[in-house]
Amino acid sequence: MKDTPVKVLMIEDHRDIAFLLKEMLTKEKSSSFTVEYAYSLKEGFERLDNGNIDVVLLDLGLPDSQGIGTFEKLSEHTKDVPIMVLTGQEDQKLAFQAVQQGAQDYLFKGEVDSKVLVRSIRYAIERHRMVVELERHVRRLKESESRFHTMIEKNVDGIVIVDKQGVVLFVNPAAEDLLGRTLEELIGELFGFPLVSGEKTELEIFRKEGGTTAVDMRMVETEWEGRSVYLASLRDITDRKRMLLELKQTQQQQLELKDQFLSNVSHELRSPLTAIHQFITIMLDGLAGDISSEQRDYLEIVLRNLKQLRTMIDDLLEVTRAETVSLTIELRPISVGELITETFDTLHATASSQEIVLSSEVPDELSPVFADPDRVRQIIINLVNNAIKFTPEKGTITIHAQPYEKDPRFLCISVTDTGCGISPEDKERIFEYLYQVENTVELSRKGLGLGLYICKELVSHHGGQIWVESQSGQGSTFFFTLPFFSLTDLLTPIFTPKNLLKGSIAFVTVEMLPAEERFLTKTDERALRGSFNLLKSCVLPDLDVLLPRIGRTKKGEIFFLVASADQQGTEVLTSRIKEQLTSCEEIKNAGLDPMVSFAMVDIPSRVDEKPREQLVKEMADSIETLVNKSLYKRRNYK
Amino acid sequence: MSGKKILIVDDDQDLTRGLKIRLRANGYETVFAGDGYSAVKIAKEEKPDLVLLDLGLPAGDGFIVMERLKNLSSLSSIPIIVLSARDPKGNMERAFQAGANAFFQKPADNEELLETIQRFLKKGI
Repeated sequence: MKDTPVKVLMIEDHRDIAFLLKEMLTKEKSSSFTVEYAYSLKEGFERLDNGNIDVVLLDLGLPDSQGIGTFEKLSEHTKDVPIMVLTGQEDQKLAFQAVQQGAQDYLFKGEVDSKVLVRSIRYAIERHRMVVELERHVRRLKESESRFHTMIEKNVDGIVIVDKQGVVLFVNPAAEDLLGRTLEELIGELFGFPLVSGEKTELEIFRKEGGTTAVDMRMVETEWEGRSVYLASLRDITDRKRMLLELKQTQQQQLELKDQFLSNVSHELRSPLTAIHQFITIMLDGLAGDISSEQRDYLEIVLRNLKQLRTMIDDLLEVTRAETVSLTIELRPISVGELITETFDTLHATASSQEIVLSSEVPDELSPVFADPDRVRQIIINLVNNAIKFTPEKGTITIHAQPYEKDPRFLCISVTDTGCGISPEDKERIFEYLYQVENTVELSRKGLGLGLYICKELVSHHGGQIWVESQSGQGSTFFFTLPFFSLTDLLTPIFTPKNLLKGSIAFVTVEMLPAEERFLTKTDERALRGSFNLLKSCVLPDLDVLLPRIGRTKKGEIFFLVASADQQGTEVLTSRIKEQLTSCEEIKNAGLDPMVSFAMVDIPSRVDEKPREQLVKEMADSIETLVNKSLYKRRNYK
Repeated sequence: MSGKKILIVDDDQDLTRGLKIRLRANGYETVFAGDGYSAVKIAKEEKPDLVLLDLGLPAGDGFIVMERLKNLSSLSSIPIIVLSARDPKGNMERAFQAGANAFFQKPADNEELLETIQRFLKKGI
């Protein structure tokens, strides 16, 4: 303050007083003042209009204005400058009036000394500054409050303020719309939705006119009129949900369309393929005259490629099935060793044409796995064909099979090649749908990018895993696992304490033999597959188990069923099976004669005292004995 | 062989020609129809011993042909082998319901097809 002098405007027509006051101010050492004069209100106005005045000392009796009116006019004119009123002692009432109306202070002429004057001026300025500040704050507060109100009022999201007891204190118009009730109806009512701060919940609000509105609700704790409350913000997501649903439906439709397309494509491709196949086999079979051995060679190459093409088309169809989850696998105990030998017959021609050595290392005493032989064959052929594709001439491909170290319930089969290997990036994605390895320029055939994907699907349908280990340039090994066959596992679900305590387990055999003794034909095999499916439909979950197809020989097949049923129940079951099988066209046409019989199985006494695992194991063993007996008996009989 | 008569119903002429060669080589006589309508007509005229039937046909598909044949007492007992490029899934069951005795997906295994034909003809349902 010392540096910048306080500018005082004195509006006073008595020059002697004015002069006196100025003297007092300028005499003061503690602060500096500059004083200007105006001798009438009009002059005062003019000076104030020029600005730069810190405080006004106003005489209420001026030539152009007298009394309180003088103050009123001035304060009307100049809002931002503090005004101190000068009056005579006799005008005390007037002075109070002026202060009431906003004057900062009053001074009685003739009672003023310099100290009082300086202090009064200082206070007046300070007080005024504070008032102005306060006003500005209040104004800001009011503005922000009104902004806040506008925000709440105009918010498209519904806002509900609820106190800690769940009583509604306020709702905005959007919330009124969403809830279908007015502010007046809602205030003081219980909100009725859970109050959890910070959580997002989805609500369904029933509309008066019917239907529901889906609402996303978020809660925060906040202050409202001095109280701690919950602020619930409600967002209408009905449209969004509907759109998501529509999007999903569209995607589903597109998927179906794609499946339909792939199915049509594979159908359309099959027709010309059939014609090619037909005429090549006609030539190969000599139906169009003799052919030279060179011609035979070439035709066989065509046929081999044709088969490859057919596999690709089958793959296409397979994939659409895998996606629509209609892929069927039929599990049964199979010997992987035999299966590998079998597939080698198929694969040998391709491998030897590239001078690739195919070998297998499978232990002799390997327990059977529980798998679909056609599917396992498909997996092995796929993996080996792949290996052949990426292995240079004179390379080797080896198949190993051994119990899986990490989980002895599984068999691990691996296909190792001495090919170009797989880069880490490809390794990550190689089992993906439609994924093709880049930079396979040197290869004439890229394939469809379906083979490994199908392998993965098939393996996982068996409950196994598939993976690859490889280093670029050093060959690769593909591994996959298949579960070992366990009769105990299969029977566990029906050998519950409850079923066993009832004390009746039946062992049902269904013999399917040709009416007259002969070897099975392919039509018979179709019919047998059909019979197995029929039997599946006769089985009740939790009560019966249809054993996988383990009883097939070249002359017929026996199916086995284990049922948790008493004599009477088993009779009903067997007569139903008999009826189903004898009325089946396919079986009739094939000329197969179904024979159904059953035997009750002994249950160890004191069922409830033994641990369940042991019990199930014992039962499984006796079932296995029965199975072996039936198989042995029939072989003898024939 | 037997000189039995087989009606081949297919709109693909290459296929029918190939089948004809294959079947004649095995001693069968063959007659043809390229659409559903003439299939029934020719079946009435020729009284074949067996029908090899495609499913996708102009003028009445394979299912309609089967329905017609099964409704004519003189023809209802002729064995029908469906030979189609369609997905067996769904189609096979439907074909059996319509009265087919066997279902093969194209391209069919020659041996298996001939074996089936032979068996049906021997049995003479």
